[in-house]
Amino acid sequence: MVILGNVGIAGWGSYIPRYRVPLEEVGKVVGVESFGYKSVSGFDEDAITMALEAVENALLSAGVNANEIKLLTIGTESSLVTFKQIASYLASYLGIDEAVLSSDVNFNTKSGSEALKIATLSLISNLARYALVVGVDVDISKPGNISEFYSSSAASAIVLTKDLSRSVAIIEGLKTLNLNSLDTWLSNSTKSINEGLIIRNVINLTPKVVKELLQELGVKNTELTHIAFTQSNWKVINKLAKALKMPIEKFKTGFLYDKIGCCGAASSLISLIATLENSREGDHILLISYGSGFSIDAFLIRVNEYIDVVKTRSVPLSKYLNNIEVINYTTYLKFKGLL
Amino acid sequence: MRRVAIVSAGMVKVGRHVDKSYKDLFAEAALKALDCIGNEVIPEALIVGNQMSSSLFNQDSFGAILADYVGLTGIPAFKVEAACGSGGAAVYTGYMAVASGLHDCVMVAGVEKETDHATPKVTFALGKASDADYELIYGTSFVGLNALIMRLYMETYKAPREAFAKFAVLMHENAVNNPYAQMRYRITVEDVLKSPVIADPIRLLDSAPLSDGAAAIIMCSEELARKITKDYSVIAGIGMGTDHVYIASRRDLLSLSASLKAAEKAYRMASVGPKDIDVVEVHDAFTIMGIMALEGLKLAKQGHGWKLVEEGVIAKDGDIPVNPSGGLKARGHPVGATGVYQVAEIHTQLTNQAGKMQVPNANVGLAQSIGGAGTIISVTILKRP
Amino acid sequence: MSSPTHITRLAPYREKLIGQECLTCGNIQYPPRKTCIRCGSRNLKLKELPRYGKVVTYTLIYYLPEGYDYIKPKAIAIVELANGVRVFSELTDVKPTDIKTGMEVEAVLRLIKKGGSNEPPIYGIKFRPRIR
Repeated sequence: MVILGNVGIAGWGSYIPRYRVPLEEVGKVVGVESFGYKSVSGFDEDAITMALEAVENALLSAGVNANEIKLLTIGTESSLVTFKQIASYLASYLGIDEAVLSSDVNFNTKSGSEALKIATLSLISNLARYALVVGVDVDISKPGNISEFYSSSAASAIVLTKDLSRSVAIIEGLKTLNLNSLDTWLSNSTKSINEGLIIRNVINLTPKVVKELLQELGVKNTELTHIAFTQSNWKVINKLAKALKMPIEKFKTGFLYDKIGCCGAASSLISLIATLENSREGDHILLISYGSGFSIDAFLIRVNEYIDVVKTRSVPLSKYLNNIEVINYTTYLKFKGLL
Repeated sequence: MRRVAIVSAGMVKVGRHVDKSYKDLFAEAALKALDCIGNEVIPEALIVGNQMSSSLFNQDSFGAILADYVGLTGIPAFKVEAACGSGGAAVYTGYMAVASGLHDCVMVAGVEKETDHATPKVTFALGKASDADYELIYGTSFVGLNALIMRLYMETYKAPREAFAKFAVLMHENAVNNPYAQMRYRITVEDVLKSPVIADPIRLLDSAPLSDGAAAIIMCSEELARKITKDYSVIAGIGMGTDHVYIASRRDLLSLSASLKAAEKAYRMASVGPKDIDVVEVHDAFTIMGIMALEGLKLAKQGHGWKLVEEGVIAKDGDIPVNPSGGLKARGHPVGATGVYQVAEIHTQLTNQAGKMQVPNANVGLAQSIGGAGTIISVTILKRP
Repeated sequence: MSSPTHITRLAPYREKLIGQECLTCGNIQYPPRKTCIRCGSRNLKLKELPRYGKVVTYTLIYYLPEGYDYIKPKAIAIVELANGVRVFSELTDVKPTDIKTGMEVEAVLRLIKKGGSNEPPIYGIKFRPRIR
């Protein structure tokens, strides 16, 4: 349990690739019924190119130059595929190669919030004035496998600051809970996912971590405006709402699974960005981020009066949600380099 | 500088020669050219135009390899490279060698073998004519570069698509008379417009084919030429120019400024103008290039070259017969060799040896060889002695 | 095929549109050279070029060179940037039938060539219809 209040969000940026595969088509191949879409990166994109666009958007929205960033943390599952540190590429590209503490944090859907946590805690120890957090993933699933529902492409970037005069939302506190759980494992480089176990872990653990976080911060359930959360599948929204005994409306702004699927390490942060873009002064946002293994991070964020400044400067998520091209399964496989 | 003459030419029929290597093709052309002058004089140097010996056959030391194959080891022998304009550059180099007095007699040859490898591999090798680091790296093809120019030309000058097709039709019409041509059959405008798109808007029948071929000419000082044969032609003027390889850097994408530079030098040296040319072989790697080539020689104003096609001006019986050989489109385009073919063809025109292709009363002829998408261009003007 | 050393050396100019401004005559050029292509001066300064521009001309290539056979057709274009400098590039995130000369485009970082078994990936600038 960590109580903060002196680290804030100065800006954010997102990037969702243009292509969408109907999950109904994926379902036909895997043998599962589904609806909605998942976002897929084009054949010439990867985690680096996507992260860069989100980062550029974030720096613009925060009104911060790249050289003011002294800390860079990337949460991803994808650098294991490219075997290249995304952080080092970005640092070099942005011209901040020498001034930066940088790291890639792997390797499940919680990596994005892990990166957020590490950056937040590092700022407290005066390591920097501004930090850049990225959550990015490409679709790394293998075709014909249930993991296809659990993987899509997106990038998110958050600029954090110690300078409260530049913050538009304050991180009030965070809490983590861990559990040894055999819900996901790798066999023949294919992910085996026990969906039921994941849901069960979410239902069992989230109420505990949320209750303790809110209690220590003296905030009531009813004061929460939006819930941002990792969306590993479409059932999560109903199960979470029920488990936390909160109206489902509070989850809707941050719910994007039907539009983009589960974008790995970017999932919880994209959800957070969706809520931030629709928030107002005084709103409380609860961020719930979890990953297989099993682990949950919960953050409480309070929005202040400067939120509208950043909103006007950022490239909104809606730009990327509306600019889409639906592709079929064959094209999807071509983009993945499998055909 | 002293006057340089061409005393003989040897050509191989352009086409797919499954049974012949590039060495065989070269040898056939070279020995033909030597036989024509009855082995009176041994060339003192061998200059060869070729683009892809290294890319496709891992062979450098190219001049020496070919010299060896025909018993010319010992003499200066080297390759000249200017992409698909290598032939013209080889002619330019041969001219320098003889005009300067360094050599009295040289062989200028060109050879290319394109049909041994799968198309994607040849496409990549041909693409090396473009800017490797900033154009080819995108996976563009050479056709792609020309297609960019064709679209812009058509939109800027409102040139009708049919005019380009008609150019190709004319080339095939001419090739029927050329025993050395690759494609000796007629095509129609409809054939062109229905052929598969290679790089929009360029279609298959807008493009020169992939070809194997070789040509060789023997160049001597005029003084020596007179002793060898009465059937010689004189290189009256020659010029070369370059433009930016990176086509986006060009001042005007629709002007072959390298050709204008080369032509200006050649015309001045030969004391002639565009109106004095009786027969031309232009570098129509694509119909767009063929049309712009005319403008690059001032045979038409910029943007108006396509009208010469429509008006029949460049037909064999027109005011300026263009490509009686069938041009790159129908005679074929073994890239590094083409420039030498063109000069050999003009030579045969001026020495009345062109058979069914003969343009009557041809006294002044011009050959234009283009490397890249208008990047390295040579213009050679021949006259009857 | 492509040397990592060569790729890294070119990366600063290919991954961003870094050209040069001639301090003698004011001409701006891309890609960088040792001298100004207009006046020949060696007095050049690196300059980042604008990211927005218009399509001057384009083509759709159906027959690709070896090593590039992923997705066909490949859209290649000449783009005139906001400051008048023209660059050669590829168009992405657009249906071939939606491409028009004159359309407004913006530069994005993309993979020009994916990595292969003996080849590192190559990043560079492509252009897409403007959305930012």
